[in-house]
Amino acid sequence: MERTKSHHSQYASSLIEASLDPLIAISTDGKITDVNQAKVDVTGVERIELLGTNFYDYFTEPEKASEVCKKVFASGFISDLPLTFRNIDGKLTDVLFNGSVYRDKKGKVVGAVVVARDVSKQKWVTELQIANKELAFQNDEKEKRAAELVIANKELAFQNEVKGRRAAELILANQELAFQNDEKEKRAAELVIANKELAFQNDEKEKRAAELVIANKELAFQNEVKERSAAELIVANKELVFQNKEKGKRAAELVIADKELAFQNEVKEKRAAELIVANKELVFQNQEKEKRSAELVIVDKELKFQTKEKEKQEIANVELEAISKSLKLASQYSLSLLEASLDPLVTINTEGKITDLNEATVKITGISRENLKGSNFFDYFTEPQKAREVYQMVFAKGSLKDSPLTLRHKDGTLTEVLFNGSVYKDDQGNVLGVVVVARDITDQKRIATELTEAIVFAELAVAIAEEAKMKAESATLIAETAVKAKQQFLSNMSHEIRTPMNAIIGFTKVLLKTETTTKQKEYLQAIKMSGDALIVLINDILDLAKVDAGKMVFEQTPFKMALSIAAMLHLFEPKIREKNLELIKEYDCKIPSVLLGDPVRLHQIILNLVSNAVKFTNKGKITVSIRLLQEDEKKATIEFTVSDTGIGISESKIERIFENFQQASSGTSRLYGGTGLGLAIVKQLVEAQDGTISVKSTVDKGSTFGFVLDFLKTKAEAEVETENLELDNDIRDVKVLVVEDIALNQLLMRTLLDEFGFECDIASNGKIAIDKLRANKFDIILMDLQMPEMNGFEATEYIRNTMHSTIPIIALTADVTTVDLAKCKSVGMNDYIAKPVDEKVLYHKIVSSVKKPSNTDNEVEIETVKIIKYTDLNYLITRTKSNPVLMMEMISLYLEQTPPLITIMKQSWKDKDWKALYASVHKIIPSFAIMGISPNFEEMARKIQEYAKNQQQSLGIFDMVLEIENVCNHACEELEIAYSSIKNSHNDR
Amino acid sequence: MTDKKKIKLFLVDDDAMYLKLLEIEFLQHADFEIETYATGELCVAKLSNQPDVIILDYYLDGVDKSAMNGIETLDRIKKFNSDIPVIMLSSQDKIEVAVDCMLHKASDYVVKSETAFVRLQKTMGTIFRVKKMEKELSWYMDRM
Repeated sequence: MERTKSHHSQYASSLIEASLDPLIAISTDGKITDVNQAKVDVTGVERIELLGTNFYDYFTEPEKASEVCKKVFASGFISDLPLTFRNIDGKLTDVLFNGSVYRDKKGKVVGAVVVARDVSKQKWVTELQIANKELAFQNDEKEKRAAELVIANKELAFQNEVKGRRAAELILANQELAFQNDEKEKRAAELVIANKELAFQNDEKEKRAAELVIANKELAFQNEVKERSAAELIVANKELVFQNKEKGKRAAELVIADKELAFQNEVKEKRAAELIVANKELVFQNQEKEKRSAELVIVDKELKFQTKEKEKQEIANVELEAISKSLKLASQYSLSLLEASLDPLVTINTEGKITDLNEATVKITGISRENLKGSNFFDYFTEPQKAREVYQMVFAKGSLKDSPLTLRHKDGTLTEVLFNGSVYKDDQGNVLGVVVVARDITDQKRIATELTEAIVFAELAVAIAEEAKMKAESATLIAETAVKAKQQFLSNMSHEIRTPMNAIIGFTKVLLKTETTTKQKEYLQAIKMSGDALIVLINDILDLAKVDAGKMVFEQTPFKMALSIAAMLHLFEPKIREKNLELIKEYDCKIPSVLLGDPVRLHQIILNLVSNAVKFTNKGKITVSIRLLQEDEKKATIEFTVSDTGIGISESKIERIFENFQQASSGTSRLYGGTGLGLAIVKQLVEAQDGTISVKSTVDKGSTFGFVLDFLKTKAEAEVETENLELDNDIRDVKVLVVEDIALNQLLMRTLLDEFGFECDIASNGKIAIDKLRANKFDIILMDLQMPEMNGFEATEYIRNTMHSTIPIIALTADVTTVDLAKCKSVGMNDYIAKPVDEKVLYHKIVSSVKKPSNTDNEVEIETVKIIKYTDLNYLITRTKSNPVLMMEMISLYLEQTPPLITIMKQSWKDKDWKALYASVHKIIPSFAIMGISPNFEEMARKIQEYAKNQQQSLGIFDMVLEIENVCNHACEELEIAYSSIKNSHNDR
Repeated sequence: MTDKKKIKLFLVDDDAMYLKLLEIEFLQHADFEIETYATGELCVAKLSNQPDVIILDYYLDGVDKSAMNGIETLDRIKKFNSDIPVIMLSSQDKIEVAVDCMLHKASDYVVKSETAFVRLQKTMGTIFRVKKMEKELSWYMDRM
């Protein structure tokens, strides 16, 4: 139906067109009758086309749309029904339908008007609202949950606080526990100490109990003795009483005897008077006698003269007799000589008959004298004819010499003789006969034969001896080559073993100085200990070999025995304390302070003995005592003993322990360790220095090892080795040239020298070293000996002789056995160090070598330093404000008080009166400060005090006492001078 | 009070030098009346002179063993009059010795050294201050 175009309807029509909502008029059969623009827009279909089409065509759900239509017509209206338009281009639009029928004037339904509200936005809004509601709901939920979470967080926070508090409490509790643990540990340590104390005191108590028991036994014994002596006294008393009675009796007797004597004296006096009278008589008679004796003397003289006359006559007679006797004797003498001769003597007359013979002839022939006389001479020979010829020759020539013949004894014995014969004549020269002497030559002959035999034997023997000599020569050659080989082997081995040992120990030491964890340090210490033990073993073996080969050289340097021993024993103190042993040192003060000897070897000997003592003793004490046995101008003989209360050695084993690698039993090494070389070395060292070594031992009681050595006396000062290694800051930039071929050792030396703060340069052999020396200036050279190209000796020779350099050269050698140290010195080296290098030794040697040129200046300085006073009166001056009277008073008091104190000090030292020593030194100390004496001496005095208090006799104390005395004496001298100067200046004013 | 009067001081030491030195020092520094004794016996004998302070050496029986030692002298002094303050001197610095002296009621213990004199002065100052306070206190207590 078209809209009327009247004014109202135009207005209405424009209103309808203006509406944004699609308006549709639908007929009762559902066909569109009118639309507005909005509908056109929404469907996208032109108006013209829309008209007459089905309403429901433009919807997504046409059925629903037609339903809607019918509903509208049925009920008359519809509101808010959702539908969806479809545009031609496919766009969908959600709408809400409101529809109502419109009627004509009669009231008949003409059609329906439908308004579609675009609800897409609304829908969207409702959807949003729904969504918002949802969100709001969810937010509520979330807020609820947030609230719950907050509560939960608060809870957590609260619980955290609680936990925190509890944690803090726990920490406190832990600290408490830790603290209490510390306390417990301390207490445990204290308990341990207390236990040890208790154990010790128990020991002491037991000892004392034992001593008490012994003392009680002594007392019981002494009581018995006393009772016995009491009994004896009673007996003696009885004796005395008895004797007194006897004396009484004798006294009575004496009284009687006295009376007797008195009576006899009277008698004597009477007789004395009589004697006087008799004496006078005698005197008179003596005079008479003298007269007569004078007469007798004259008569005597007469008689004497007459006797002399007689004697002269008698002498004449005697002389005559004597002459005749002497003649007889002479002939007897000759006869006896002839008889005495052992050689048979025979006189033969011209006819060959025996006229005279001697005893020897009788013996040799066995025939009596009478038978012999007058018989034929030649009858008694084996060859009578020859005998006859002999004597005929004698007659002819006058004499015969050495004619051999054989005499026959009566019983058949033959005697070989040599005949000498000569004629004898009377006064006129007539031949009376022949005298013949036969010499027994049997012995001679025998000797001759023996001699020839002996000569033969001797020749044989000479031949054998020459053979033997050849063999011996060859054997010596072999032995010498063997010894040389052995030495070469030893030196090689020594070098080969020492070089890697050097590296091991050196680098271990260096490592220990770097930062290490505890574990690492532990392991390194273990390595170092093993390395040290190995070196000790190697040194022992090499020393033994050296001494065996007779190559050990002993030095003769001046050294202080007391200090040397003290320093060495000091090393043992920790070990000894560890084993709870006591070390007692006894040192004889009479030993001269400085002696000539080899302190290093002495150290070695005592080290070995003491370490044995420590090793084999588990309880008790070790006593080292040094005693002066005897002393004369040149030398001192000293006895050293090391005693212990250890396991002891049985009689049978004592012989063996000094042998190489021998210990008392095979189990000893297992239980106590050790190689068995110590005593062998000690024996060799002692005996090589012409000493003697001895051992006494009781099993389970202990052993005492002793040795006696001679030391020459010397006036030289001993060198004191300083123990402290202090870097001398004056000697900082020392340039060292190290000549060494093995890279390992080069590195080691560099590390050591860097530590000392020295500059160092390395050369791998002698040639390179010389080149470097030419190019740069060095302060000192450390020269290895074995190197390729040019070794240490050659290099040194070159440096000294060709380069004329006096730079100090120290030899580094791994091998001190065969290398001749004299050779080192002879090529011009100043000193030597053994590898593995001990850094202290190295440092000292470098410092002393480098310092030498400036030593002379130091010496001069030292001289001047010595002149410095011992006292310094500044302190006194300040105190007394230079008041001379007071100064003099103070000085005089010092001079009065100090000398007696010094005397007491020395005396108490000698008497070992420690309390007095303590007291006297104690008194001297304050005066040191007042008189400005150097605090060093005060320290010394305090040390003496300390020792005196502990009643310890240390080896250096006597030196210190002497030093203090010296200081005080000097101080007294200076103070006296000061006193007089003050006095003079005071008096001058 | 006692400020106008000179303070009477006893010095006891067997080391004559040190004794003299102390005397010199005290005389230089203030007006004291000083009496010096070399042994404990002498000091005890003269206690009737009413010293105000006694400075006593610990080691009196050093050289002469029969003399009284410091502790004995201290006991005697305290027995005579426990109000006299006694300051112990010694060259020992051992804690046990110092504690021992204090237990025997010495007022103080000073070690012989460069600073000894200064310390002595200080401790004497303290002692006199304490005495003064005690006197004042007893005066007030009496009043109450």
